[in-house]
Amino acid sequence: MNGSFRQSMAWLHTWSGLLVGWVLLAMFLTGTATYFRPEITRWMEPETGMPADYHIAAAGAAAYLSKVAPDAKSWSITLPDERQATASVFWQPQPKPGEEERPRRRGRNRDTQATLDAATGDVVKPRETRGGEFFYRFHFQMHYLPVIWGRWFAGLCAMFMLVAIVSGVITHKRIFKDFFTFRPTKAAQRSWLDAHNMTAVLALPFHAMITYTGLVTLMALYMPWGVLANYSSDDAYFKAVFPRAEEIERSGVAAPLAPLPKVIDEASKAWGGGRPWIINVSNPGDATARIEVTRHSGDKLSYRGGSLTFDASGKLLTRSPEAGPANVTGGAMYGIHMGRFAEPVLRWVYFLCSLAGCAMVATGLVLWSVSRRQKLPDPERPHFGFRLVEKLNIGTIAGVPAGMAAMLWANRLLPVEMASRSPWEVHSMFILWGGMILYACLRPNKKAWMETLGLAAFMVAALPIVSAVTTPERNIFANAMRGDGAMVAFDLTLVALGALLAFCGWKAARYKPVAKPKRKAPAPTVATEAA
Amino acid sequence: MIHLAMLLLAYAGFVGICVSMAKHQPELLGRKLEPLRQRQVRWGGAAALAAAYACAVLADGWKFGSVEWCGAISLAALTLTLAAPYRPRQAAQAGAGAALVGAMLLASALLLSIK
Repeated sequence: MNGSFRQSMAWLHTWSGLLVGWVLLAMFLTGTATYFRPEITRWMEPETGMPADYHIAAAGAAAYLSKVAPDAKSWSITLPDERQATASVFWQPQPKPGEEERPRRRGRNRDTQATLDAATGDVVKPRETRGGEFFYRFHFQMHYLPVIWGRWFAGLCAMFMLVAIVSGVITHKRIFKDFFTFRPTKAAQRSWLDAHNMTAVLALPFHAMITYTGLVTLMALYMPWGVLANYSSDDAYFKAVFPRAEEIERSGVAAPLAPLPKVIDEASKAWGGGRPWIINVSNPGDATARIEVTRHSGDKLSYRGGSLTFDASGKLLTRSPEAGPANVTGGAMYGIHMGRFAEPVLRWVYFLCSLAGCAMVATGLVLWSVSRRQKLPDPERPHFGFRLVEKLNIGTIAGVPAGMAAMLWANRLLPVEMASRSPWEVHSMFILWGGMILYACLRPNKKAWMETLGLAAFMVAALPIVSAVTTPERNIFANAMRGDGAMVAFDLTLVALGALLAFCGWKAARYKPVAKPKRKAPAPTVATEAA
Repeated sequence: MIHLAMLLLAYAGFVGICVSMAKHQPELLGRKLEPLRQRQVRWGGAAALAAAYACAVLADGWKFGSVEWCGAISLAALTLTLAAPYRPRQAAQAGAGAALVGAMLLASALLLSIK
């Protein structure tokens, strides 16, 4: 490999990383939070109880549905897993004569759906919030943009990330020699470079995996040609991959529905120990009823679970066809990205590796400005583009965590009855993020770093207190007394993350830029420094 | 327990590999190792990483175990690299301790699984 190839790769690495770096940081941070999506949702819905066994939840849901919608066209029950406290149900009423059949869509119609407590089966009315779902959605489809545009944009950013990873590995000449090297006390540029290399190289398997599989999860959108070449339409493709049972006319002969807990046990037996996730019942209460049980993907690497169909008496009728090899591969990539199978230890490993990814992006952004400042003709009076990068760095690195915390603050502080409450929770995140960027523009850099990071640390670390004051039943001691370990851990994690941000702020406060050494030769580029 | 053994052995493994590199020996050990010793430490480290993989597979099978091991060694390497500049000696000594405890945990897990 010659120098010029490496230099062109360094150029590519620098600019592909910088151009979308701020969006990538937001995607990485919200994606990291998504590993605790059910916990975030539970935190944001303090009206809900504790997780319970899915047998109980299934029985409760069936009892509720046979009360409110005994003659519905179909029921759908999403069972809670061991991390969720509620089952969600929705039903499709019989179409009235002459009425067009409504499309099966969740969440469109508030009066044909309900949230049920996992343990009691009672209806719970949590405050209007998007919960952890928002971070999940944001990290691949953005916000304030049409969904498809957002996904294209997220895909573009992920592609830049992939380019940055590959070119970064090529650029990094001493990948093994500097494997364990971190010199925090050396000159700023050196230690930022070390920190960037360290967080990038040591968690490289994770970064490469998450970026690549992230793109693969949306491959049917980005590269539709494979599907188009083999299927007449998208619908035909989805029908082939996720077959739906044929609709059967009601016979009019009443027949009791088999108890769902028993059906679940049958299903688990047929799967050799799997868990159920979604139960669809068509024609409930009729002799032609069909119970379709979809498998939870939590015990498999592949995200696609497959389903079983039972008749009204609970006899196993059909299994969904085995997925083909391409589908299994796709499902496994999706699964490994989501980490749904991850038990607590592995989930924390995912979370921490993902935090390292956030640090990699953030240190990369800072490194750009630190290493470039020395090379400016007059470091005291940088040009507009350079100042823009610096201000966006401050406003984003401190602003996104603070904004995410602001969303949780809003969750507790906005009145519960407020109209369009959940949109305002989301707005609060972007308002604070934007505010932080503006604030950074008004203050000198060092002050801006200290103050924004300080505010972010406070916003995150104070959340357990905000929660304890506004929802006393969710203070950390009440949670501990109830045996709700996940919520106790949630509060402690917030404090730890706040401390981490405070540490960064403290580092910024102690940072003294070194006087520019007089050099005769032009300063080397980032690339040759890295080399 | 076996997960703890995996993390400890992964950490011990990277301490071994790190200590076998000449540039890290002065800070971590306060002295230079002879070439033979250096090779032994390196292979010891690699063996500990392999043992960590065994733990992961033992705990969660080939599929999940492999994913878990990749994550565990990333975290172990990050921990060592972050700790070494501030507490170099202790980081190295912790590696020896981690190897010992990890090996004992793995051994007891193996014994239990044979029974």
